[in-house]
Amino acid sequence: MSQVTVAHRPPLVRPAKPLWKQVLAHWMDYLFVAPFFVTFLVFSVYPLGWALQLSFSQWRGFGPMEFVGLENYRVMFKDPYIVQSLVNTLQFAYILLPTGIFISILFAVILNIRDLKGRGIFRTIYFLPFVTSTVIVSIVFTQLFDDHMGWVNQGLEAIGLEPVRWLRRSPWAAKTVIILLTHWGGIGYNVLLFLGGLQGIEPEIYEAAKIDGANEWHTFWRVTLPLLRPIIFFLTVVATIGLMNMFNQPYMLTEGGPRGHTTTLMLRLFEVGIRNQRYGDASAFGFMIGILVIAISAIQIRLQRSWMG
Amino acid sequence: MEKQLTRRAFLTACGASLAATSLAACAPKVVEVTTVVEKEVEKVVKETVVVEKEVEKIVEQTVEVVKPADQPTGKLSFWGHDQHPIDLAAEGFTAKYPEIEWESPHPADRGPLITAAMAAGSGCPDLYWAEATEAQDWGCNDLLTDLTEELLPVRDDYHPLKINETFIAKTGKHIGWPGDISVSGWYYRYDKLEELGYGDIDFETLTYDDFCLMASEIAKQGYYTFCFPADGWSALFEYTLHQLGGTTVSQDGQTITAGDEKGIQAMSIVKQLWDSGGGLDVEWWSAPYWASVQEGELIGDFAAAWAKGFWEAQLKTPEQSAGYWRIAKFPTGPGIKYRTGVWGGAQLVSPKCAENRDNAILFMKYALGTLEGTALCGGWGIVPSYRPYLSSSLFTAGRSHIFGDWAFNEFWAEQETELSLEFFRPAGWGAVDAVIGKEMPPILEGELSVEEGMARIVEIATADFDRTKCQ
Repeated sequence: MSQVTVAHRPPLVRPAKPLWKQVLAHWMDYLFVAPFFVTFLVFSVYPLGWALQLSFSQWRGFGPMEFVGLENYRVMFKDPYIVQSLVNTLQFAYILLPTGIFISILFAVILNIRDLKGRGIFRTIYFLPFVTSTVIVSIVFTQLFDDHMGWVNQGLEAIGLEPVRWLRRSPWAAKTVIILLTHWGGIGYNVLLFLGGLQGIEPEIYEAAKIDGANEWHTFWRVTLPLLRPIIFFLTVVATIGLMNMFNQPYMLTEGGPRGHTTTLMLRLFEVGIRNQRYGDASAFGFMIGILVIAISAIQIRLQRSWMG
Repeated sequence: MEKQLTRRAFLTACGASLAATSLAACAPKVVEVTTVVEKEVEKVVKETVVVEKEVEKIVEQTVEVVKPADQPTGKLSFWGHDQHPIDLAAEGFTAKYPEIEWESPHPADRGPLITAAMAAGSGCPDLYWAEATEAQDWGCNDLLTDLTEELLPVRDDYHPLKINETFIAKTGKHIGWPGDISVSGWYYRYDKLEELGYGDIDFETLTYDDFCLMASEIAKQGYYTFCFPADGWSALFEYTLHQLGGTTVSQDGQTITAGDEKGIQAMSIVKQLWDSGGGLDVEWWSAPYWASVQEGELIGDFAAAWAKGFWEAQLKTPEQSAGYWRIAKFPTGPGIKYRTGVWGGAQLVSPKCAENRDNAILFMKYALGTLEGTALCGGWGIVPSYRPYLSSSLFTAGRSHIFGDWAFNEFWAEQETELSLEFFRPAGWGAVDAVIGKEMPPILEGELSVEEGMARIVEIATADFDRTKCQ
């Protein structure tokens, strides 16, 4: 038996270049990606680090910064308004999320009907509130729901009903107006996403369902909705983050009233940080909100994974 | 020769071209600008020569009166709210000192902006219209110009309360010039009261009990005698507390005193006002507020003297009730020592980081310390606290279309003597006042007793107060 000798060539190991040499060798590449990283460092990383340092200090915008350890976090946990604002924010989220997704799917399905006349106009109309300034819309809503001069109360009185103290007296009424405003402004964007999802579903799937004897109702529940799950999930995560940061609507409509029933986390953060200039406390509170949002998002992602199989 | 251009080579070429273009674009421009600047400098020099000649000419004509060297020059910037009375005084000031250039941009977010500017040490205005508690806060942190030397020689020209508001106990310095007197009264429609059968009220002896009874009766007829937003209105508490000789925060700024005996009594009066039903539930000075005033639904309100300027802007015609308004002292009652209250009443301050502090001090002395200056800014609606002006006919002869021929300023001059010396708004006051407004509704609605409610207010306000008081 002949022996075959295989000559093993030792692997070519290049000595590692020092980092600066690597950078120098690819300086042009780094130059191209530099603008993003410089901007990111200056406007994101540095402020974040500064805010973290601030959250352990007491500082009001001037004078020396005093290190206080975890004192700011302790004070924020004890603040009764923060507990109330957390409850309010979660209430808004729990009402707005399911209703928002339900209404969006409903509108998207209607807009997806092939023979619907003026489909393009409807799409534009639905999307228009999304690109309109929340501040301007809030002013219009304030006029609509004003206790004394508002059109809504005038309408109620015209049909013999008692006027409602929408924004200033009744907590549920104030919350309802904020929910209406948020839906009005946000639904258009959701509808557009769902519409895209609906149009991405292959017609063959519907045809197969029809051949199997599925009616419209079954088709929707067994075909359309499961195939929209990725969009539902995406919107749930994005909307949750958005709702946890809700500020414009309560600020413009009720300023957190009546009696703090519409104060959201962000509104309280604004009060502590900007109005009272307690920058240390506000930073600590901001990090607490951030951690809460990350935790909620992580739970949602976990649930989604098990839901999507 | 390599014909195909690789992606890397293309990117390299693009990057190099971009960098070269950027450099090429920058380099010659600098040269060009330099040339222009040089030309401009030449031009300015020439113009200066001309000006000097003109000045010489003027000096020849009026040599004994005008000393050009004494004429202050430079700029003066001022931040306050829009349509500011101080801008009216500026017209007189710039006429007197034409070499000073006045600018008043009035940024909407001037509060956070000036805080940031003072922290940075640059970008500050020379003058700022600061509320008492703001001035105290900044003065405590040594951010404002010391005016002690300028103010002490003329301190008797001002009410001691206003002098107190410019004084920082921690540093022993005066850091502001007394501005608006901030006395208050009950504005009312005399024609409507007559119509409703209350034409002969003796305001000297009118108690809160009488007032609440009247307010309640009038409310039954669909009219309201004051504004009382249902989500709380701390001004009413501050008014009654002032009347009782109390204070929200102690003079040294270290203790919250809103929950003491006087605080409890003040809140009891506020609750009495609420229970009367005579208050209209609208946001103060909102569109519905003014609509109610114009339509004759809101026929009275507790307000400060400086409110006049804003009322004048809203009530222009007799149909809008212009000419039918009068002002009365606040009601009296057990324990009440003063018949007026304090709400607002800002002062002029100059941040240490201001670039034209000498001009700023010159302006303060003119606008708030001369008859000419105070008459100019007093015409708008604020009541400058300069006593010689308050006792002059320039002030007392003042008229306004909302009061018709009534000499309303004679009333305010009398009210000035009613100001309490026991009412303080040091640093941290704002934190307590905000909580009072927020936590008022449970007391008004009877969910908490006045004592419990006030104790809760003190408890909640403590964290914020401890962080904002003068340490």
